[in-house]
Amino acid sequence: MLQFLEFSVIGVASGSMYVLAALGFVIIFKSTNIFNFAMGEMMMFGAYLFFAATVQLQLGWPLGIVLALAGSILTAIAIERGLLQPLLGQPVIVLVLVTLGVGSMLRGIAGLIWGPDIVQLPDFLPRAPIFIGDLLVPGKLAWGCLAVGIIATLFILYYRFSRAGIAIRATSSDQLTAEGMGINIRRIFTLTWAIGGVLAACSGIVVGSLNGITPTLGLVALNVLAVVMLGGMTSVGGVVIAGIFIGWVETLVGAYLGAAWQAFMPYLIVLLVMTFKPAGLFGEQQIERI
Amino acid sequence: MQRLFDKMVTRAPDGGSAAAGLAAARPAPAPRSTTLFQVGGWLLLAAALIAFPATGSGYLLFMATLVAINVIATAGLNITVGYAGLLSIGHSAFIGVGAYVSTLMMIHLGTPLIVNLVFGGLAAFLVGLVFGAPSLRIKGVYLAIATLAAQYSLYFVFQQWTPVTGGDRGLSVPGVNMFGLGDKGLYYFVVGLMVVLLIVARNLFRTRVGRAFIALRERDYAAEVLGINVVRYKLLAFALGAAYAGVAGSLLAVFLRIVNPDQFTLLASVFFLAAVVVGGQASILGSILGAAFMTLMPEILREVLEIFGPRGTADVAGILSPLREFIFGALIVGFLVFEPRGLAGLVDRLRAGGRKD
Amino acid sequence: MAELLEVDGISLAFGGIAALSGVSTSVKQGRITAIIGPNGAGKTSFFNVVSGFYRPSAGAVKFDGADILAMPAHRRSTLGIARTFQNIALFEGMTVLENIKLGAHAQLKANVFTSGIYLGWARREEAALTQRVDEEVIEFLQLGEIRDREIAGLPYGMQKRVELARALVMRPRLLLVDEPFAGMNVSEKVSMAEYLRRCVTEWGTTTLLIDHDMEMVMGLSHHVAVLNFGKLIAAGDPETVRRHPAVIEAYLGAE
Repeated sequence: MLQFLEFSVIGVASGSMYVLAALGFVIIFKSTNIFNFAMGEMMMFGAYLFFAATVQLQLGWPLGIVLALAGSILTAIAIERGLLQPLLGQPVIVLVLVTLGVGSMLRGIAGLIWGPDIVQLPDFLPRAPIFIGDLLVPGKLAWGCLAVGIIATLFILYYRFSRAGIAIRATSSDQLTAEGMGINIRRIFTLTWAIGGVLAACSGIVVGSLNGITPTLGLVALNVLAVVMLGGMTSVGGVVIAGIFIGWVETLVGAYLGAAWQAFMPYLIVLLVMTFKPAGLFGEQQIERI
Repeated sequence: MQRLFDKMVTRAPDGGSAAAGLAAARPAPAPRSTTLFQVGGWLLLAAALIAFPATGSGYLLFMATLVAINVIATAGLNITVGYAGLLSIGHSAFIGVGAYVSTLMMIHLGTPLIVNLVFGGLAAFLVGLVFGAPSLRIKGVYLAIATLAAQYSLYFVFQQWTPVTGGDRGLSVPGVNMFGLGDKGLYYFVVGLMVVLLIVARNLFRTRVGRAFIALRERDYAAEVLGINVVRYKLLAFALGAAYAGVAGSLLAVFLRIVNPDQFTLLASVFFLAAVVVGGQASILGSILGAAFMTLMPEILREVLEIFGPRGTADVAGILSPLREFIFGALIVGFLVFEPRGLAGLVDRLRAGGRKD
Repeated sequence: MAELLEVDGISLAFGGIAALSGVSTSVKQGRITAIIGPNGAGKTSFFNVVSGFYRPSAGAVKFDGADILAMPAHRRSTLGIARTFQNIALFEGMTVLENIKLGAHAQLKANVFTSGIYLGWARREEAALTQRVDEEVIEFLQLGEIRDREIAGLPYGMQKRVELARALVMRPRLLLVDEPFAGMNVSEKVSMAEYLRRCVTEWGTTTLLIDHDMEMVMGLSHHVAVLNFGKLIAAGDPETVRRHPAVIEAYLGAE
């Protein structure tokens, strides 16, 4: 029983790791209607930027975070401005295909620069384990979870209350009306991608500091898709709950059935959600207007 | 030489077409009268394909057979992605289904290849239906996620169902001796099948089936009013692409003499997407050009790296893999942005230019 | 004369905003009926209910006496309901001929296997269709010159005509035409009106149309229904409707 609880706590904490990337995915999908298949790679790339700044250039972790975020924002904006905006008005699958291609490119670039082997990020999260009663939670995981919580809260506050956040929400609910109200849609798209870049980099740094990073870190993050499917593509709150839930299930499955099942689990969830509750647990059922 | 493909490719636009990307894909034109010149071209092409093994090079024969297999798989994906506008990210998993089913039949039932590959294709078709049905009921784009799930789920099955699939080690496939000609026999068989399957794909777009695919790519609500069962046709377009993959997989198994999970990864699926985009969406000629380009490109890359790259095979291998990922991705992105009609579009333009002279 | 389409008290809302409330009207066999009304009055929503895209929250839709509310959109074409769209829903990647052929989709039988082989049966079916399209609609709508051209690049008025051709090829019993005159010049309008009139007189196609152009609608229709803010405010022959105070107010108020 204690073991189960321990796995559960670890699972919930590692589930929270998905939340940031999933939020980035959702916000981009909401405002631009694009499934960003490069989300995981943006996450991986952000982590490598952090690695380059802190380990390779020895700049210390606070500056490292700033540089990683800046680099990630620039990458996201470059993708959006350079590749997606010229294709605006094309069928959605063209845009999705572009993100898939960009993901492959980023993976290749990381492999060429940093090699295929795992590298460790500097220990900026305390290692000492934390006890909740008899339950042991690895220190990095607990602090990482806390960091995610803070960033996610900041994001949600920004999304709810800032002028830009309101403009993004207006755009995602009705592009035409938003445009009529004087919102510059193209700038909102860019802003959304920039925010997506921030969330991706934060997520990459936190996840990477737990287990180290490789160029394929982004592929593992495809689990994020399961999170957003379950949460309901468009629901910011739903994604948080779904992320934690999937982390929990995945960890338990991994603990009792083995790693292969753990890796397969998110996709099983995707298929189940599609079959039985296509709008996700918290997504809105949309009537498409013609 | 360009005229050889006259019957397969579609007419070039008169000028630069404003509509780009998927929307610019051209359906088959109304059949035109066949000129003597075209007949001559076809005979020449057939003769070249038949005479090819006479080059005597085992390497060239190997590459030619591989290209032909990849052409079949690419043509299938092009039906799904190019013609019907549905994004499948798990194409290699369906190749895997065909490869395993066909190999298992060969090992356990001893049935001939022609039977195995029919069942390989059928199995991939059915597995495609299973993965396609839930997502296509919702919305076309969700297929992208469902096929990604298929990629990982099927990989999981290939890898974990050890008693049947041989796990990570996979299965070794007994050799087949086609027409008593060994490797050459397999080459002829694969190329013959490729031609048949390309003609089938082309024929689909002469009739209501192919028209319906294109209609739902462009405006599915209008397709519905015309009496097209949108969900059913989307499923059909997707599963048909998977069936082509299954046939290609059956061939790949007997060709490489081994089947294992690592042949059917996400990278392999991206390879075929790149082949479709680079060759030209919604174009039979595009499938041929794209598959050939993508198959030969890594070979050329390796040659180049061996001459100019770092010394030592380990280093070359270490660079080759990420470089390939980068190039696959860059080709997809670059062609979508700068040449949405792919190599086939380039060929069309060249021909149009040639005619004006 | 028999009612071909009967719509009884349909209501439809999008996120709390009523697009149609309790609209009842009917379309008589062999006549041209028009629905008019200011922008946002619910005309296209009404069409979308009849086509089967929207499921109304209340009311009934009967075609030839049978309730079709539960019938999916793609099955309604087999009953003989065809339509055109306000913003022209042609398939740009195809030629005019292929677009028109799509209209006959539900009447054809070719499947993946017969199509793939394309010998004998499927080939004959396709040839017969080509001949029928040529003889019936292409000639009728004078599209011969552009028959093998692609849609992209055709003038707007021509595209409208191709869309009408595509709807006619299935020999519909009920033809829904969404804004046939929008964006046309006077001579194009006159010829479109003539085609629509001939659809009824020569083909016996019952027609239901939507448009803003009062002159064209009044001159063409036998019966006119007026929608405003999702409600039916008047119906009757063109003269009655033209003088109806609610109609005058709706139009003056909207302009």
